[in-house]
Amino acid sequence: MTTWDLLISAWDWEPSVVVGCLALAIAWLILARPRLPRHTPLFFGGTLLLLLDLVSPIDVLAGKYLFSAHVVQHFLLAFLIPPLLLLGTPRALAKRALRYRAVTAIERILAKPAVAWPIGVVPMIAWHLPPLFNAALASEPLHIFQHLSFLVTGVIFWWPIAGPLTERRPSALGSIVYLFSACTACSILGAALTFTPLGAYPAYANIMDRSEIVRLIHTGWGLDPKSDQQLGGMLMWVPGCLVYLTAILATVARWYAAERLEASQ
Amino acid sequence: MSEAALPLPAAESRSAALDWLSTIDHKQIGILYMLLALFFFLVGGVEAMLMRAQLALPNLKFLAPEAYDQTFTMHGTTMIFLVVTPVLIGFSTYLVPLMIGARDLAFPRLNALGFWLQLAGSVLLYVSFAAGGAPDAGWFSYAPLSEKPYSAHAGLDYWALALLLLGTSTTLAAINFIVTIAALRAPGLTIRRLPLFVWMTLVNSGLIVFAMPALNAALVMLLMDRRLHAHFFDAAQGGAPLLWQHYFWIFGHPEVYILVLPGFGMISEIIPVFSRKPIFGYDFVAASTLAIAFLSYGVWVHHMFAVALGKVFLSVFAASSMLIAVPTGVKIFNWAATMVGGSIRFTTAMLFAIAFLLEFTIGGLSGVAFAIVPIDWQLTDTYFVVAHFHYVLFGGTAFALFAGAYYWFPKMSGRMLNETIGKWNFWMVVIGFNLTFFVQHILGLLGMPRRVYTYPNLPWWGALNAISTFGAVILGMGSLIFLVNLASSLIFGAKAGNDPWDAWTLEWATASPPPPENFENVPGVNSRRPLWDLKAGRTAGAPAARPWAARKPEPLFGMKLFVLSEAVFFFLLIVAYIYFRTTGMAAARSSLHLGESATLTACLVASSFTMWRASASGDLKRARLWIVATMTLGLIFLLGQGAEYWRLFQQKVTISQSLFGTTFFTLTGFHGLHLLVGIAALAVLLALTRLRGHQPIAVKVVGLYWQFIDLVWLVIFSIVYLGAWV
Repeated sequence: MTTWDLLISAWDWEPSVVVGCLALAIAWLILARPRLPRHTPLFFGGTLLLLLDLVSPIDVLAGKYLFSAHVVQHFLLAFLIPPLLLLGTPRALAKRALRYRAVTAIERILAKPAVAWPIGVVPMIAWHLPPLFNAALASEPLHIFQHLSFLVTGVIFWWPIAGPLTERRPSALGSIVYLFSACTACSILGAALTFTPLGAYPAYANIMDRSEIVRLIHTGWGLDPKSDQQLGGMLMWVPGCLVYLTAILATVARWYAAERLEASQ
Repeated sequence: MSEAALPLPAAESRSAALDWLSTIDHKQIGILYMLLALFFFLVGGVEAMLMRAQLALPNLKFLAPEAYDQTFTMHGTTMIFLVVTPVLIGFSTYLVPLMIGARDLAFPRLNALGFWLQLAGSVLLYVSFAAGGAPDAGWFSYAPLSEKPYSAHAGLDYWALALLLLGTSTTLAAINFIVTIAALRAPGLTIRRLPLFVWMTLVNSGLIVFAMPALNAALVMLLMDRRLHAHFFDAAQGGAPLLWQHYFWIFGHPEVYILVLPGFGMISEIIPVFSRKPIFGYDFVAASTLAIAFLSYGVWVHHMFAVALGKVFLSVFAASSMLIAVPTGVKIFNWAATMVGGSIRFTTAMLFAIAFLLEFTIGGLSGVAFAIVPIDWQLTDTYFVVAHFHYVLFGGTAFALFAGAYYWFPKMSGRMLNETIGKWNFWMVVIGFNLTFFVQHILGLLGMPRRVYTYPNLPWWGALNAISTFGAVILGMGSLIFLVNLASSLIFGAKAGNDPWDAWTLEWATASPPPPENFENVPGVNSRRPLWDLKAGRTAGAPAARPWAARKPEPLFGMKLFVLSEAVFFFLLIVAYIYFRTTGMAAARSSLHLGESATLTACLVASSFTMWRASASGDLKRARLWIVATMTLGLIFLLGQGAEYWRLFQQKVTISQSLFGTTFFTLTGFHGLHLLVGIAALAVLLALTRLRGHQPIAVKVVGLYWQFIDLVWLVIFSIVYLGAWV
């Protein structure tokens, strides 16, 4: 088996995922009527990424073969898809939702940085502790819950930074602290995964499966279980930081642009 | 603003010497820092000349191998910790309050303490020569070479103790800068309008607060190993020499940027003024600084490519190391673009700034080469590395410092540095520097290892080394010319006036040298070029000038930063405990008593409550009672811990007996020490309230520290005690 074969064959069209993503897209189209706002590509990009993350070879590799693929899957769910979805949500839509008192009350609480930060960071760390991680691998319902929780807590975490209500965002310096501290937590998790002894995640340390995929991974890609786990940890550690860095730079860019606007007035 | 309108410096009966010794004025302390650095620049320079003399020809016996080891270790340590760090802090100490229109730093006494700690650390390092021998394991003191069996004399103990003092001093200075910049800016001077030197000092201080504790953690572990026979880095007893490398470079890579960012800041002030153009892309320079600071924590492993870490490590960190070149490159383009189309004045300061751009770019490019793993394997520990970091630290930082000295000397002394001598200074330094270090690239490519005291007569080695030594002599003479210029200009230099360069930042709005209070009234600011605005009469919309007294520093914010720094320190000690945990689990279970420790933990939790009551209480009498209660609970905890230690000693569980003992006693011992400091601080606070009445802010500040120490204990308790039974 070659990498190409893997890429075209290893798809897992789980109906619930497809239906969920379609429902998300259709609901958005209905709510965003009558005309499509200019953020549309971001939202659909996020939805497409969500679909790919859960049905593509990433999912197949994550499910049985590669710890690192599983980390990538979680990483996309919590770090990349939520900000895309949020950036693609038009302001008017959020305003409309906030007309309901219950929604406003929930938003009031969850959008506080002191609340959103732990909601985003704690599950990220907790789900990667070996007992919880292995339990989720062993039980399908728990696994689905895990993925949903990444998505939901990710949206809550990114709401104050990338949410549509720009006037409610924390100050630029506050946002930098918010993102930098989250990045630190994430780097610590990544470093811990990298240096955790092999065997903490037994499902990947001794794969029983003798399929073609395993041979491809071991001989084709040269990834033994130890490198796989290190790669997983380091993907969380370094590229994870880059997402936060991008967000920090975007915040700073917006902040300086506002200064130019004030100066020119 | 006329010079006559400002009050003269206080003419008092005290002698000048006492005035300097007891000063808490940021300008005097800044100058003290710079003079200290200048002195050690000479010392470090002499060490460099000794090494170049020994290496001038093959097979020389001028320095014995042991002496050579001590010389290169002391040269590196001196130049990094005793020269570049204090001179940068000196510049920031002097300039930050002036540039933001403040009267002084937020905590002037803390500033003085920082300087005296720096002096004490510097002296301590050099006392080692008299105490059996200087440190000899290189400036990064890799274990196991730095362990007792390989370096038996006390040099490395002095090295570690000195660096602890110097690190503390630097951290205190950084906290002071952050609080100052946060709280004491002139009206209208928003963070987005900060002079870039101040902005970079701010970012740099953030780096210091997080990076220094990693060094401190590594140093205390080394000291435990050397003085108390612990086993952190002792492979024979299950320790891990590699842990030293990780901890050292977690500090060491950000340190590289700590040593260069303020230089970037100086260049960002000097190039625009002498190009008569605002800086090109202020936003990009500012934001890329943030990106550098951020990335610098994620690339330390590239110092360890020669360690067998596995190919995944290599690929990921090679990529991240290349990435950090991007924000640095952005800056180079910004500086170059600032000069394009400007009317450039080629003063000595500007010449050094332009040379900085060229030399630093060379150093940056050879740095990116090291991110490519096969090149790193080939060139690590050769003279190519030596050439690379001298292009960064001399061609980069030192050139920026020369530029800064020529630019700001008139402000500090009231006199101009001589431009003719300056040109000689410049050309000798540039030519000498490139002769010395450029050929070292080639020596490295030819395979000459660094840190060897001599070499065989291989083709080209002798000739290239001779050129390098010849260049070093020119460089040394060029540096001496600088000293001559400083001394003669101080006496004979032309009067500078307030603003000799037609500059744009606030320090040039006051007299040269500035009066003790800096400004009579702080001018309002409405752009990034306040002084150009003032001179051109563009002051519409600027906030009104106001006296400095209107603003207050925030001690609680300073304590928060200190607590963050301490948190990193404890985090790394805890990581060390967890790292060796598997080897000590049985020992932990058999020697620790959960119930006993839980009782003590309850004591500390109770003390958190009493401390909180003390902070919240407005009434002095009640606050005192709560403070005494807190101290008592703290003492009970310490006594309990003492009893536990005693019992463990009886069972022959000691710091040298096993890895469990090593990590357990270091972690809990340092927590205990911190608690003791907390109790002492509360005692001082009690005495202070007796003298001066209620100090609600001081109680809150000490209270925050106390809560932090309690929180650290809760983490230690869960990991060490509860964790042993999970």
